[in-house]
Amino acid sequence: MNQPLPDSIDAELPRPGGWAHLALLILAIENTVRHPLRLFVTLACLIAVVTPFTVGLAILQGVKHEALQALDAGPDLFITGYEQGRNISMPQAVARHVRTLHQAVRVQGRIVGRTNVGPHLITLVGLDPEGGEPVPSRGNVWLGFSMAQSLQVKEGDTLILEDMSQITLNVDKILQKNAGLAAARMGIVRLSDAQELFATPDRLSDLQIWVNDPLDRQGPAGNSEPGLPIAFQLRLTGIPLRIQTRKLASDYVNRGFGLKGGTFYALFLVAFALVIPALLVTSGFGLSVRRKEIALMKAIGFSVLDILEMAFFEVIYLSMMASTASFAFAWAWIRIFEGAGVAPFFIAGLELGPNIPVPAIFQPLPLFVSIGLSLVLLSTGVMSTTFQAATSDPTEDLR
Amino acid sequence: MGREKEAKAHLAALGCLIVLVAGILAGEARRVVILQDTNPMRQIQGAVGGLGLGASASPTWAFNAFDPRLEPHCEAGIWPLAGGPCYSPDHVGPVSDFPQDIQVPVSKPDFAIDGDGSPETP
Repeated sequence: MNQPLPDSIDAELPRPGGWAHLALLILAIENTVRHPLRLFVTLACLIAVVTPFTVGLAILQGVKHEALQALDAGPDLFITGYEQGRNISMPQAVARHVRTLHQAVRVQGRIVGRTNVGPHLITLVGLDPEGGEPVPSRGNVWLGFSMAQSLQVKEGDTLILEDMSQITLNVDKILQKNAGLAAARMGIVRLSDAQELFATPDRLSDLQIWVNDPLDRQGPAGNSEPGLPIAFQLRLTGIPLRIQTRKLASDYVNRGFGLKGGTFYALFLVAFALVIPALLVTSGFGLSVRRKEIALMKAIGFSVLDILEMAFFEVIYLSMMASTASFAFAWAWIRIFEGAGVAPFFIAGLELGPNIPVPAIFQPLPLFVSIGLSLVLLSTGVMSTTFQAATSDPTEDLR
Repeated sequence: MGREKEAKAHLAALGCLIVLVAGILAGEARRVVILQDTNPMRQIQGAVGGLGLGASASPTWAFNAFDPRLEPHCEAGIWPLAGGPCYSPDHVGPVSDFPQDIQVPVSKPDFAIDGDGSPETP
């Protein structure tokens, strides 16, 4: 009964101690390699689902990062006119009045509008030179990279904008390609140029007020309390105004991305669930040869626990392969191919012009989530069928 | 033995993939740090006072999806069919969708304003 086993079988038998686990791991990978078609289809199924999931999460994080930068650079109080439940423009005189208040560290009057240059929509930002930051000189425009590419203009060219009136601008500067999503199709002009274009003299679309020194600010929401006297003074102007604090804008970002992020997770969980039947078929269900393999293992001395451990190693190996490959594919898709074909699904307006670097951040969390989900999916397909085969009578399966 | 070698080669390939992904993660972490320190985006955002909170490159359909501070509600919700369905694709694909239920405080007119912008009590 204790005759030595033949060499070929001995090589595959688990050895005592830690080596047993390593041998089972090698054996598990051998099992997957033995059926190349099954290996390919299973990996392809997982990669097809996990890659867009990783791309989406990376873009979600990237856009949120840009939003937080915009929020960080933004004011403590954001004022617009108010009428009939909507934001409207407001008199520039309010900006002059606020500048006289000592609580205001910085005050910037701004026009944010949109107009067309031929078939191209441009986001036009008019900046007040008294706002404390450099602005284009009169008759000049700073143009976003994507917009300049669409219009096929370069620095020194002339650009004619037409809305309620017509203005001719000199393209003074083209913003860098990596200046961000919002800047891609933006044109920055002096406030007076924007007022002339939209025929709104002495009007602003919004007024930005900083009440905290940026270094003293407590987190992205900031402290709007110093703005209360200014809000009171604005109320005294008698103009219906909408006053938004940094905290409110921070809530927009957190809820805006949280809500969509949650929906995104939910949709992908459904997608993952739909893959389960495919994986059930490819990863073991219906493969009578697999039952025979397991029966043979039992016949040569493998315990049920050994077989389950081997199957678990198989699941880990496939999950790691699929998740890491998906992560690498997703990274290449965004960073090398600039999100071709996928980024416009997640970011509106990208289809309007040449590509800019897609805002995306690749963090470890999506990788761990995809590994976890792959483990669950594959376990559903592999572990249950393996357990059934391992606990059945091997003589029946081998017959 | 042939299969065992093949299995070990697959294991080595997995190791290479893990190293590659670790390299990507390290590079990305470094990129975020560099972006925070010296990036044109920060300069432009500083110049314009922060613009663009949403996953939108342009306010093609509505300013709300581009930056909800400019318009807290989606314009497409009241046009072309007031009270009807909102046709803006900004609510479908992009990874951000801003809440429409946030109440933005409005200062009501109690007083009049004179020509130079200073408050004038009635």
